[in-house]
Amino acid sequence: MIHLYAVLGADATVPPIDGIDGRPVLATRVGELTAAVGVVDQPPEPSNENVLCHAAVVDALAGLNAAVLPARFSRPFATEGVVEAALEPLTKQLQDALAEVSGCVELGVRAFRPTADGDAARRAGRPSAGEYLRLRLASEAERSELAATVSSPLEGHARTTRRRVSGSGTVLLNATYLVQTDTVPAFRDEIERLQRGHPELTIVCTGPWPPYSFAAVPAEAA
Amino acid sequence: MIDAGAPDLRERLTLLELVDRVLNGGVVLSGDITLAVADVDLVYVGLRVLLASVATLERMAELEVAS
Repeated sequence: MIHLYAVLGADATVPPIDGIDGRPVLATRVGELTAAVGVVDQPPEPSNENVLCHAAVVDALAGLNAAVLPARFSRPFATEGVVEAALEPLTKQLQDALAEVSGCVELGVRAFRPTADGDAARRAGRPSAGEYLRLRLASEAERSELAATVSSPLEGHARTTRRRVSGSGTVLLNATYLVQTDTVPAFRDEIERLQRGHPELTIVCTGPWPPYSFAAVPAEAA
Repeated sequence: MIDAGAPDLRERLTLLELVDRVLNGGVVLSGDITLAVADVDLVYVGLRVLLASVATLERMAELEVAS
């Protein structure tokens, strides 16, 4: 069985390292693409160890190649032939995705606000249902605006942004940004600036990551 | 299954973020579902399940087979 770590371009450099189950990471050429794979005897469990091993292999690939599409930790392919059959019809989409992420890393940003929503409603005493809804709507609008205030300057430094749907409560913003590697310092400066400007928030920036969130391609060939 | 010994919030959050990306992000290719799986597939790839213990996973699998 074949476990897929990542998809890269034709000129990919694959490091001579071991991956899951201590099996070496190999390069499989599929036309204008390279699949970074490892042979496994049975489907790898998504254990901490295997997941971190997969991440380490992707990291190593990202260290050596400007464009990497990290693969999701999924069930393995039956044979190398099945890998080729899966990649070949998606060559154009995968090349487009590689071009999009080339030279970029992913940075995750979460903004927390300790004061829970609904406080305004509670402070109002016992509002009527209508009043409560109006307070909640105003609260939602305010949250949205504040989230945008944090995200907008960061989006200015990014090639692409994915806003995750954040829950209510303390998570104000949960987003991930595709940023050119040499723009990362400016992005981090912006984070610090935003944190100083919003002491009521806790802003956490994680990464840089290989571009897991920007690697998806449409399942069906166009 | 997340290491409870991780010293601080940032490290735990970073680990969760990484696992989330590896299991829920990344490119998915259709070839991986052509693998014929004769046995019950106990591997449910998802962050929330990863956080459960292995014992819970086995219990869930037993319930699924029984239902």
